[in-house]
Amino acid sequence: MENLKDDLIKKINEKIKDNKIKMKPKFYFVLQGFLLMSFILIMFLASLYIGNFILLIFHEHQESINFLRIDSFDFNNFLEFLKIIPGLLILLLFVFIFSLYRLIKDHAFVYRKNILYIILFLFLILTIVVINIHIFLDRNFDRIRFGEKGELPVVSYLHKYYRGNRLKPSGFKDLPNKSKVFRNREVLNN
Amino acid sequence: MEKENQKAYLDLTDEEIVLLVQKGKKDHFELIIGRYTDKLNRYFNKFLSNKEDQQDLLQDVFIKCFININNFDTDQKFSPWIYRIAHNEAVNLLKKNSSRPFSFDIFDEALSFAHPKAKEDSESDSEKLLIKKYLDSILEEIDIKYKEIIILYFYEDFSYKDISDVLKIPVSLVGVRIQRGKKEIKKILEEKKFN
Repeated sequence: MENLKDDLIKKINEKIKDNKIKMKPKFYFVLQGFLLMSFILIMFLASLYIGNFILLIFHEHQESINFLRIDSFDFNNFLEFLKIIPGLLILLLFVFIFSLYRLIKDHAFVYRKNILYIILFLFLILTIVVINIHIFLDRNFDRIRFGEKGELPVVSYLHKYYRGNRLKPSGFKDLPNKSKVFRNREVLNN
Repeated sequence: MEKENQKAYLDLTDEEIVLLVQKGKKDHFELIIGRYTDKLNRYFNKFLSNKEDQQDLLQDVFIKCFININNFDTDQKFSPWIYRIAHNEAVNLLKKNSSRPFSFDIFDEALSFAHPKAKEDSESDSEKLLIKKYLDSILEEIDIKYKEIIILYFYEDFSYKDISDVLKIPVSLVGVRIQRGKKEIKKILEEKKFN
């Protein structure tokens, strides 16, 4: 065993002296950490955007399917509901959330207590819900249509593909004074 | 490094030695090699039968350790960090040599629902020695998923927290796997009719 030790020390010392192996500078790891944090933030915001966009699609279609109205819920309505589900977007949302999980899982404060995964996921859902409730109560529906006018390339493509002739939907700005979410739906339907 | 100076550095902790290496005293790295060669060799012995593979792996671990030494936070414990590097190298080699897909714990059922009460219990030294005595003879038969944790716990005397840092899994999952590992050991021993 002593031979193995001495042998290893000799080999590694030679490599260090010949500059065959070098210590990575501290700055490398600081930059790596910064890039990782940036990716985590981007994945989080992307998940937030896609989640909100999915809810926008459901909101815009609700007057045609009456899905949330119990008295008219039937098989046809359910089929209509299935048609409007943006499957690819939901898949993309899961990809973003999974990417977020893979990015954070190696950090000590996350892997030691795995309940933090659940908290982060719940925080994401809560943020999406709070944003949507705020928008509907505030009636500032222009925020939902962020990117619709072509100011961002990928985002405006999503609007055109999924919302098509629903771009600038009528009725949003014509609604009477501040009303609750369910009353909004009744006004749109009438 | 001169032998007279070596004696002076024997009292330094691993973290203090690493701090000196980070400050530019590269020759102090041989102290780390000296301290961890036996431990890591014993660790790899439990996984790999090929001696050449073990020696190559040992060298790779120390090289990687040196290259990434500035990434180590000297406020933390050093041994889980170097064992983490050793674990990754061993897994990569086993994956390379294995003919079928190799996976430790990508979607372990306990990962999401870890047992809340699987906390560290203190086993007496005699109990641990007794388990270790039989463990050598049955280690090859234990599932790879529990094998590594059992090695770290019984042979390397790591705490649950240290094992969690080496394997990057929740502390509660470490407890769950140790309990399951012990059950598996008991089952194998019963099959072999050990008392």
